[in-house]
Amino acid sequence: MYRIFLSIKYLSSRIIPFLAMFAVALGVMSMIVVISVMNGFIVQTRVIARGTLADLTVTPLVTNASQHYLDLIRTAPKVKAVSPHLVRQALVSTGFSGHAATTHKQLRELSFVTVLGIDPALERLASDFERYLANFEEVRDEIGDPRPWQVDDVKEPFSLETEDRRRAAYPKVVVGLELAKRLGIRKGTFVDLMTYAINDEPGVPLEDKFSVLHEKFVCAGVFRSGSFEIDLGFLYMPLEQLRSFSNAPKDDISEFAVTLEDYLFSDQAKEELQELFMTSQGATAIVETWEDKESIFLSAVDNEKRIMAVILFFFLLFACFAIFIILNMMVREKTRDIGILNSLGATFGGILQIFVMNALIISIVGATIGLVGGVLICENVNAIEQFLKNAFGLVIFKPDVYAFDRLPVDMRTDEVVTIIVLTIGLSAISGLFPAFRAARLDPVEALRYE
Amino acid sequence: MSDLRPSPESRDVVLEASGIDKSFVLGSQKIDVLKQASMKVYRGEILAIVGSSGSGKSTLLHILGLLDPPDAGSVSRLGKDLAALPRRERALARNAYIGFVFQFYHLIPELTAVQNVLINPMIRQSFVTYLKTRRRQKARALELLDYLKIGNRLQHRPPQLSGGERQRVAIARALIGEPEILLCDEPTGNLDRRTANEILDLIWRLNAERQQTVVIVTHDDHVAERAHRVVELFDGQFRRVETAPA
Ligand SMILES: Nc1ncnc2c1ncn2[C@@H]1O[C@H](COP(=O)(O)OP(=O)(O)OP(=O)(O)O)[C@@H](O)[C@H]1O
Ligand SMILES: [Mg+2]
Repeated sequence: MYRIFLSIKYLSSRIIPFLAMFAVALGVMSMIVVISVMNGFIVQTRVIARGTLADLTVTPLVTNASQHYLDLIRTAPKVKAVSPHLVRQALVSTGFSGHAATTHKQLRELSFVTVLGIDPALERLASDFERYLANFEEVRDEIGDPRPWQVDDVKEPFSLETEDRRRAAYPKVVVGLELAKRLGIRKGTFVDLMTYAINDEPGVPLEDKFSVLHEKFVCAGVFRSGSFEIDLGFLYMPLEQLRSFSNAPKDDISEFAVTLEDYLFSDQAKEELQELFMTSQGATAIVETWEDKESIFLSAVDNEKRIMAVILFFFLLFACFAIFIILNMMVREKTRDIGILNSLGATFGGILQIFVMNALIISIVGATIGLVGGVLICENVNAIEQFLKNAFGLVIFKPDVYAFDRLPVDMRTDEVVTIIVLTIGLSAISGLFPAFRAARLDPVEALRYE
Repeated sequence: MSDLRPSPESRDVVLEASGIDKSFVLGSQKIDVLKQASMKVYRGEILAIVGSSGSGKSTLLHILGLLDPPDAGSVSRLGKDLAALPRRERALARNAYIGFVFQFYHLIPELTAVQNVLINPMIRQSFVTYLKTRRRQKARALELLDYLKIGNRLQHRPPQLSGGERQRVAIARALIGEPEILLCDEPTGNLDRRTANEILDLIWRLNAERQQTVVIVTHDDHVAERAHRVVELFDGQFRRVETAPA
């Protein structure tokens, strides 16, 4: 009984233990917040790193055999859907001919985009594209009514109902929300695209090998994946339309996007497909999971989290060191009390527990405050960010730097528990040494201590 | 029969120290403080230990109180050598049988007077037992503090109390454990004459009313005069100064 009683009395009559508590709280709080935000970043970054990548990407090495590839891939086990893509790079503007640009800036703005030629009927089975077309709920307060942005029919994304015959006549594209915002594109806006073609047939003079191609399109609607980069950098149009725009050879396919029944078995599915291409005649291909394609980037992000955890761990060590110092000071200051307690019959274990309990109280109270603070911050991180921006003009999070439109948080119970247990465990250990010193004091010496 | 006072030898021995050796090593020098010192404490007596400064009185008291183990010799209660027990059991025995009162009071400055007294039963009892008997313990503490005439300063902390008041609290703290033997190391050494007499009166009253056995180390001739029995420590051994008139 006297142990806890004295612990509390000793702690509450001093200010320094509260500082240590504060340090522990700060350590735990920052650890929880930073790790959770890092988790969020990792989850989001994986989404972005994945971009429009399908579970598996098959890059054909033989041209003019797309149907053969399609049939072959479809026979593979574990494959749910496959969608052929034609991929081109292009410059996009609303202002080549000044039709739709609303400001001078937009008039001069050019954006570089990846153009994906897709077959909507196949793509909707193989990717999230169809979902992206009606994904405006989260940004309602920013864009207001989504109707001027949204396609008329997600099943037929490249069609536009319009009275205007000129608009009706042009081929249609679907652009990302961020690109649309940057260039002032809405449903029905004219969009100019510029791409190139290379003619490497023998005998063609050098100056004719490279040609710039230019065509006008009409925006049929906007998509939003939630990833800043995708929404800024991708533009969709029907596959055949891209083929004719870019002068691509007939039957040319850049890649096949393959969706699996279960991504858990992606490595196995990849091997099976590789096997299939090896044994089949006239259809060799590179098969990659999306993680293969982004492996370096993904491991870098994972590594970053580990580095942050280590840095913050040092902060925790510092807090534990503070506990160690404070307890040492207290043992020195309380030497005579220890002699008194001995004279009253306190045992070695009793004295030890008084001081270990001191460390535990500091760390448990500190960790609890840190936990509450950390959880509160995590749950309101976007509100806090908004508040700082509005009240002090403090911009903490720049969506264009981080490539997603809100601060992501992913608080994981196991990690939070680890942090708390680690903190309390480490503090108890830091308290153990001074506590041992206290308990081992010679009672007579302690009583003589002035 | 009742008019026959028992001789000291036939009375109950509460604590017996025999053949105590104790030396301290300071650097290369070895100081033999106690050399084969032996003494007995009888039930219900007030025994004064006198001796010049540095003669080893406090050292002996610490050994009697099981705070410090002797180099040789035994401290026995009912024939059992308590000094030879392991540290933990000595601590428990100390809590059960011994009450200490020091010259410098040795109260815990963070605690109020009542809490300083209650710390003793808190040490003796487990968490649960203490919580269960808390009310009774507190009542006893209050009663004791009242008995020691300091019932009006219950919620004060030691720094707010005078020397005499602090010593009363310290005595109450020792007494609440109902020790068989109260060991006082110059309990009045730091007090003025009048306050010292008040404290001494209290101790004698305890002895008279509650048959408290007291060993009192002192420089003070008044104390020695009043004690039932006086022994002197000289050159590491005891010599009897005067037999108690009993
Ligand atoms: N821990 C120690 N280390 C070294 N020497 C010690 C220690 N404790 C006591 N001594 C020595 O032992 C001797 C006896 O000390 P003690 O305190 O018992 O004397 P005392 O009779 O109580 O004296 P006083 O009347 O001044 O209180 C002294 O010479 C002291 O210096
Ligand atoms: Mg002394």
